[in-house]
Amino acid sequence: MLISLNWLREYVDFDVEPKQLAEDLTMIGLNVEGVEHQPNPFNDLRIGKVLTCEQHPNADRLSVCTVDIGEDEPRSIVCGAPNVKAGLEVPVIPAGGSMPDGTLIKKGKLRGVKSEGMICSGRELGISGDHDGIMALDYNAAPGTRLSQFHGSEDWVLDIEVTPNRPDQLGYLGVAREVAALYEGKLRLPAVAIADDSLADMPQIPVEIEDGEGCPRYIARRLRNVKVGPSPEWLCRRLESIGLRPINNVVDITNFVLFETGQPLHAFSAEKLAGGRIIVRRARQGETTITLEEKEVKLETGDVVIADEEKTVCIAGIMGSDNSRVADDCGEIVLESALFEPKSVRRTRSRLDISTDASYRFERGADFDMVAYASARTSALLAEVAGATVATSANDVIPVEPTPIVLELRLTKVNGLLGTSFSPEDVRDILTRLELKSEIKGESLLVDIPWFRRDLLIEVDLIEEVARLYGFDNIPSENRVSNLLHARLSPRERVIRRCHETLTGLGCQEVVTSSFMDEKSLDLMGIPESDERRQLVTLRNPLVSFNSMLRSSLLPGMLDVLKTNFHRGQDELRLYQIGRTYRRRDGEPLPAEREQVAALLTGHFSPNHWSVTDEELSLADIIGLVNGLTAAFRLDITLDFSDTDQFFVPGMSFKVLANGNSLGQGGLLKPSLLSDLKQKRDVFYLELMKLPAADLPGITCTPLPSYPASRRDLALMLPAHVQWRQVAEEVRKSGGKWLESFNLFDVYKGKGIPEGASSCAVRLVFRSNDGTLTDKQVDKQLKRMLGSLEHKLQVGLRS
Amino acid sequence: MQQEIDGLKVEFEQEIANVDSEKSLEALRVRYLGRKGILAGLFKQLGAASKEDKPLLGKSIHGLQKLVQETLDAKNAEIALSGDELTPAGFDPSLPGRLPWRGNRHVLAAALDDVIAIFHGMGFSVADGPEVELDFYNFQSLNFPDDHPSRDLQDTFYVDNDVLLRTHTSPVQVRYMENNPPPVRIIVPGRVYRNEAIDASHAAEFHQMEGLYVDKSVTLGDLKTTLSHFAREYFGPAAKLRFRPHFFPFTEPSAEADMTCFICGGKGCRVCGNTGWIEILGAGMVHPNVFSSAGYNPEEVTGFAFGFGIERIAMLKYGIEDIRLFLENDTRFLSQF
Repeated sequence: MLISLNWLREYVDFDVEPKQLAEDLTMIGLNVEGVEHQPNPFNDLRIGKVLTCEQHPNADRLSVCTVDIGEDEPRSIVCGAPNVKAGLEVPVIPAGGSMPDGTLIKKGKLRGVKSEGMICSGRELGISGDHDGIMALDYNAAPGTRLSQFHGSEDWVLDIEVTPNRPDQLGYLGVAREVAALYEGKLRLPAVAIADDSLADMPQIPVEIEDGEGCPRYIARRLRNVKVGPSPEWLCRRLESIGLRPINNVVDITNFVLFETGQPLHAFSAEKLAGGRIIVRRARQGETTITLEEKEVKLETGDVVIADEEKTVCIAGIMGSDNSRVADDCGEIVLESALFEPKSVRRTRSRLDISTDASYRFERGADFDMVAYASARTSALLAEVAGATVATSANDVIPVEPTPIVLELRLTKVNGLLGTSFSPEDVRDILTRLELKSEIKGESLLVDIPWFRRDLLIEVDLIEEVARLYGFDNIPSENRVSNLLHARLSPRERVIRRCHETLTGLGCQEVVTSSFMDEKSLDLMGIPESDERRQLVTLRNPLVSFNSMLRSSLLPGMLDVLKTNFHRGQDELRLYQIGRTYRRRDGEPLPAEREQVAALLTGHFSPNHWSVTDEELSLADIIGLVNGLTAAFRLDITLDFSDTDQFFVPGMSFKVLANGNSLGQGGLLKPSLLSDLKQKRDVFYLELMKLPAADLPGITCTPLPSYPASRRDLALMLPAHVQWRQVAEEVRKSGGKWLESFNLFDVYKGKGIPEGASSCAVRLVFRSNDGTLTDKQVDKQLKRMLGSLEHKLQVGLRS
Repeated sequence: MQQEIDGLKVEFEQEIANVDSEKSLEALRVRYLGRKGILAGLFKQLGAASKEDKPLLGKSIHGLQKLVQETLDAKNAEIALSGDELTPAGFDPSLPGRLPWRGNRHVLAAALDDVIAIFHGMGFSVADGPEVELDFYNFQSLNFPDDHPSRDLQDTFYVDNDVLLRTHTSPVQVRYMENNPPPVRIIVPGRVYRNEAIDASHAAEFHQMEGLYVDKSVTLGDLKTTLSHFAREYFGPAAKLRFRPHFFPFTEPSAEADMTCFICGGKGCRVCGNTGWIEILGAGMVHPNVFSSAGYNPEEVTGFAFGFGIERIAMLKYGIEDIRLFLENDTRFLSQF
């Protein structure tokens, strides 16, 4: 809401700088989002004296004048007005200056004669509607005097954010009331006075309200002899100061009163009302109407409309129909000032997608009392400005007399909620400033709620009024000892924190990606139709050019990050994310939301470092990541190298099993997923479909061993068909009870080794808790193990 | 024999002078002090000496032994010290260090953890709720009536008529109170969604931190104290908050809090739009209708609630100028935090 301070001063006095006013209003809850200075629009205009005026040599309709504007030399100005003549006092814009609307006047030649400025008409200056010729002044001022000494004024305009609960702030009177409360001043309501000769007895226009709920009050007033024409200067200024373009006196007055009072008004052409009656009713099934914007709309039975005996003439509170438009030669009009029910206006305007200044106010709630004032005020202005004859009495219809609202405000609640120590009188005084009448009853106040503050519905609303006028900054803030509530981490938080600690500890960069994805990603990933990841949550109203589904997998987001970074030359990546995925559930209104873990590795083990060979990351690195992560949760996992999702390279991927349950999967991504990357590189991916269990198994500390260990290093020859994990399993099985641990410390292929086979160097550690093992004991066990390896896997010692 | 002892003494002193390594020192020690060494030999000879010579010779041999021992010890210490000074030949110690991969949290997560730590210190525990939410929890239970303009405050993504993507973390207030009796002191970090055109300062998905404290006599003063403490802890001791009245359907009284601009210190600059203040959060006293929705008796408890954007405070604190950077995950951005 734009508030011109010049305009505002019509209703309330205040003696502070505009910026201070903005600050003070902000601190009582009228958030001022901008303060704009509007200089006097006539600053560039000078008063000039026409010294000579001669016919233009090359143009019949132009004159060449010399005009004294107080400079050393008079200016030569070419003028097209018929009434210009020597001796006139005129408004002049010297070349280089601007018209009030901002148009720059340039020095130039008109038909060969130089022109160093412009003599203005009243219309051009917005001072009067007179366009027939230049404006002859009568100030007898010294040539060169600024016109701004006689016309216009500078102004300041505040841009106030109006929250939905304060429709009263959508009119100047409402804002003025706040200013009065702020500085303990008094609101001035402009007196409504219609001269006797502008009044006439006319029959009241009949108003029938079929729907009292949709329309609690309707005032119809006849006006005759309305002369449509340009608005006077003061009215134009008011509207222009808040960015509105003056149209004609009738439209401008209804707009002016709308902004002054917050009450929307509407005018019908009286002769176009069939039957000469007004009926407020719900629209009929299948009814249509053409609006003032000449758009045909379909009405529904819930819509409140204004009708005559035959047709709808206005969509109540939103927009009039074209069929009852006030024409320029209108003769008699019917002025409507009414109140419409907010929800119904909101539903209709939202369905029709027509938002107007009127609907904006009605859907927030207009003021019952203001309906009458605005009707009278508009009529008086039309009489004054447009020469209208106003009916002595209007038809004011109130289907159900509303009940007054009185709220009880308990002092204990005020002080209890705010932490203050107000007395009943303190509270009463604050409320009085806001024009809220109250009566003290013991430790409570009974507060009459006026129509202009029907946002005050319950006690706590009044407490807010007290708090904001007192000033939130004045409310004591101190450290109170409150009852002890200790904060703690939930099991879920503990798991997530441990995941983060572990993955960052393992050298991964956390990323956070969008919750949205495109179903095409699932096609690319080869996710079958029956898969639960196809149970997508879809938005009904997505943003244009934005994915419309909630992600069911973290992979598409991780790939996006990979691509973004690759395209910018960052191709050494170790990324992870802990994020939610969403899955629609049949029979449940809300989807399942599950936290998942994803990690993505690509690049080199130790990129470009002088000390090491530039080895590319391999499957072993993603396996290492699984091992590290699951170790942090003391999970005993096994990897199952069969049957992973389609987006992994078969045989180069694995399921992660913990106690036989699948926890997730990992492996090498298929190159086809990355086909739009220019650079081909192995990308390894890991995902845990659910977080590990929150509660870690209890720890029982194992005593450190008392006896020395016995170590054996072996070189095992693995034939081509045998994989290490088979060997490891067999070693574990046949290593005996003393086998404490074993470790693969070298893998060799090449010279001296048969094609496809590999030589694996293993260190085994044997230890007994009962005594030092002898070489003989260890050798015996080793022999048994080697026999088993040879027998089951054809794995022998490298000779 | 005394001459022999004197000769050995001279000889030892010459030999020790030539020792330059641990190895030669050890050889010398074995030669003199070993089980079959020179001194052992001398003691053996002493047994055969005459009774009257014995005391003097014994004294001389012991003297020599002491000298040898002490000299060897001193030399040993000297060699050990000189070993500290040795650098391997040809090694360039100025070569770049070998750093294992450095893991790092996302700036959002890091900011969130900082904020959680501050509220943890004030007894707030973390609660959680769904992102795909019922209209009831996101709006109705928070005193946003149907067909009311307050619903226009937030542009909403809908899944169907009753199901939407939460526009704020506030639904968790009611969800939590439904399942936990007062007193309640929680924070709710989480992702929220707005159907808004995306630009440098607007995102369709971002993160919020909600706070709720409900007890028998929580006041607006307590709210101010709590949030002022948070601002000082997070933005530094000079950060001051001012509270101005505002409107939120689910709090009454409602406030927005502005913080003194930490760029200009309140003088006015580009970041604060020349006002000296930066809006950072919304807050207020829990509306009685919200207590009623959650099954609390508004006559028995009061409470405050607040909410702010994690991206917003991180952008302010670190001078991040484009909100889109958070979900873009350029590692050059991420590695700065």
